[in-house]
Amino acid sequence: MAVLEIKDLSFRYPEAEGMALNGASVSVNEGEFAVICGESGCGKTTLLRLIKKEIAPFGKISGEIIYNGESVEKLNKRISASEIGFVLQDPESQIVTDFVWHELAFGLESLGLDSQTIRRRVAEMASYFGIADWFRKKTSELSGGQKQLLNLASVMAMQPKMLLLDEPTAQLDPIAASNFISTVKKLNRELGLTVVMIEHRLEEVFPIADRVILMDSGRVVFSESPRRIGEFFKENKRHAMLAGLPAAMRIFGLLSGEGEAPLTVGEGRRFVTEGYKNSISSVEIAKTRSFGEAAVELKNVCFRYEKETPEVVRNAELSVYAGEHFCILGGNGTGKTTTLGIIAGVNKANRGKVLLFGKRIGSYSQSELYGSLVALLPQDPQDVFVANTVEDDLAEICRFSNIEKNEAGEKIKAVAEKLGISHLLKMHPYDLSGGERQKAALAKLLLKQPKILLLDEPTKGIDANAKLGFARIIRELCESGITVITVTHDVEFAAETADRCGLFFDGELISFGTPNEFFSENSFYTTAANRISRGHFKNAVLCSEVVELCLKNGKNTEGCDETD
Amino acid sequence: MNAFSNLNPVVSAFYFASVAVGAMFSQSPLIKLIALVFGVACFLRLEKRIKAKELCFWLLAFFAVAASNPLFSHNGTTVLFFLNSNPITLEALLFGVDIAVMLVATVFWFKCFNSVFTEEKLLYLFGKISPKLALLLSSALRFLPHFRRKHKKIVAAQKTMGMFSSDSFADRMKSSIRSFSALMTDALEGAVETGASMKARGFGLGGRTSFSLFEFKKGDTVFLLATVALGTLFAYCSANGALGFEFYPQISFAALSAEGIIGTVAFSLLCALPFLKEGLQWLFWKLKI
Repeated sequence: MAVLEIKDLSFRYPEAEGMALNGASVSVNEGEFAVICGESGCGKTTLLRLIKKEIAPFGKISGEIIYNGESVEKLNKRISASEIGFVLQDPESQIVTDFVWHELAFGLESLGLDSQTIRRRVAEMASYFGIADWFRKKTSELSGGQKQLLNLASVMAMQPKMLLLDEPTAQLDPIAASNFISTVKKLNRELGLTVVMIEHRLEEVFPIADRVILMDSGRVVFSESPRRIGEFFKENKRHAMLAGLPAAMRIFGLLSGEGEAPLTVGEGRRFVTEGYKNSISSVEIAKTRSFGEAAVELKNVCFRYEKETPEVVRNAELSVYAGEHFCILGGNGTGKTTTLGIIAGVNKANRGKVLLFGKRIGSYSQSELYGSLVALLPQDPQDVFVANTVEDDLAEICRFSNIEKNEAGEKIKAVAEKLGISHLLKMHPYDLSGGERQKAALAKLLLKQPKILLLDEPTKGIDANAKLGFARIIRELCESGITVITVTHDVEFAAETADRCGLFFDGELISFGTPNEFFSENSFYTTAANRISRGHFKNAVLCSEVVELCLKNGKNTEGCDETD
Repeated sequence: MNAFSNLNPVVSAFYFASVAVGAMFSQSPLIKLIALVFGVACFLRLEKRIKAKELCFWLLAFFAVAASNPLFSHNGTTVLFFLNSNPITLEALLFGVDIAVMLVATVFWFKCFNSVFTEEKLLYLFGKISPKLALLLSSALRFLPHFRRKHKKIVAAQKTMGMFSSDSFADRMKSSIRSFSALMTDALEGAVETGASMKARGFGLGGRTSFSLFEFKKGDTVFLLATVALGTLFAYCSANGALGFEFYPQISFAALSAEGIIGTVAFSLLCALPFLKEGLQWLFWKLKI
């Protein structure tokens, strides 16, 4: 039975030119796990918010949203508040109160339940979500992953029948994200809860989703089992969402596979190893580009934040050359961001040498250093903006970088065009989507014409297509001689764009190598395409490389051939 | 201190108020001395130690208060000596000491209150008065650490953008204003989300209740009754004048009476109540195991 039915829904924001939703129709059955995906700006969030009338945006609406046989608009307020749960994107600002237990009780207090009932439900939620350990903590002391789990738990305490989630993992690191997703799946499986979730991490949600709702310019263009999405993309080969599909599916699609598409790495392995020969088992690596002098050198660098706290970075050794893109990978709290801060001169090394173009970082003056040498893109690009429009912000940095006034306009135009953000110049920085914001922040950095560009988690919360665009920009920058050092969790991004990768662990850089060397030596910390082709092919790291090898080898007609 | 940790905040607050009022308004120096001894003991039990700096400060304060009274007040009949042709009297000196004891005793009981009353408990007390105020405070308290962290991040980011690096004061001032306005924008943006999250969870439906982890248990009733009984007994005895004490013009005090003894014992027991509670708990576990 369909618990949610959306019929021909159109929506326009006041004073907006285009329609945010343009005749979207979809239905979700009871107990289903539905994933909504689509490019940013396709109306996903608008659609989701319209279902929950308390937070529905204002604007001109037509069409129908029916929840359990009743129009959402006419739904009893109490029922709407408790039965339809909503988790937003930002873990931080959703939290209302200062103690974990109070946050869990917040919704129940609003419903006016008595103390005994609240006590029981809060206790139940705390044990189910495993938050009993930090039950009495302050909410400000929690990590991002814990915060988002708390948000989920405090919505679940109201015992909703349908859960709506708007990119809940966008701000989380991969480990916290997969923990969160598996908790949602557990709720769906164990309680029969209907879940509708907007998500970019398709690699993780596709295998567990019952239904994939693909949206495109305000319409629902696909709404079926994820296995059948291959058929959709067969007809729409150039669709932007293609890049975001799980690796197994992408390989399947690129090889024009027949029948049901593989979703998981295991299924993908079967498809490749059983379907294709492996007489040619390695990809030829194009000669690496030659790089210039050493741009950044860390020699035996140690750092701790305070005297009593443990060392965050210990004996870090690193050399990055001019024009190179170096990716630092590694888990949470291993000191990656701190190291970036050391290179940027924000953190001062306690011991060891930090050299920028052969000169000690301390010997540069502040204005030399931040004038046109180093630029750092922080994890949250929002921190970069101070003005009311993107254009003002860019003009401001021109002033700081001593660019002549009459030149500034030209320069801003050039950078905006290069990054493809010309149409966003008049907008407020906070109104941009994740990918757009990232690009606007990068534009601001580039106006300083830095020689060394430091990026902290640049792909956090942006969709696959925006990621591709971003990767292209970085490659161009490197070719023009800029040195880029990226700290990231995103293995796929590193494999795609880095010249060299390094693994940060326990305060030091442990292994180095080109992506092909680096990832084919790792067995867990590697790309999905590598995990799919491991053992069958030697050093394929990207989907395109796996596909290339498959095509070269040709189809396996006799059966499995596992010899190398 | 274990005694307070599982006590309802309302009961604890009432207890501290009773002791402080007793110590502040009693005339008898003995009562104040008892309050001081137990106040310090209670503080040590709660905090495990007292910082040398703090101890020095309060000792100094004690002597300063004790010494300043005879310097400024020349009441009393027993003149000890003359200072700049002003009489220094025994009564004024002793009254100074009495005030100092009272002051330090009250301070230590307030320190105990401070140590027992975490933010959580204070909010619970506010919630008893006004649930709306409590919610407002609660979200403000959540917001502050976030605000501080964000400010740090924005300043760091702006620093690498070239702000704050100029030597000119005007430029740096401008940078500060810029980053502050960015902080405000972020806060407003966050507030919109918080509002959405509140509404999504039924805020404003009407008939809101206020939940707290604190319950009123049997132990609370017992502790409250004991406080009320001992406090009333002490107040009754004091009101009767059995604990009267006058410094001026000459030291005079009420004759020893049964009521005086009962009042003193009642106040001592009141001060010792947390220790008694802990002792009983300890005994209970000792006998059980």
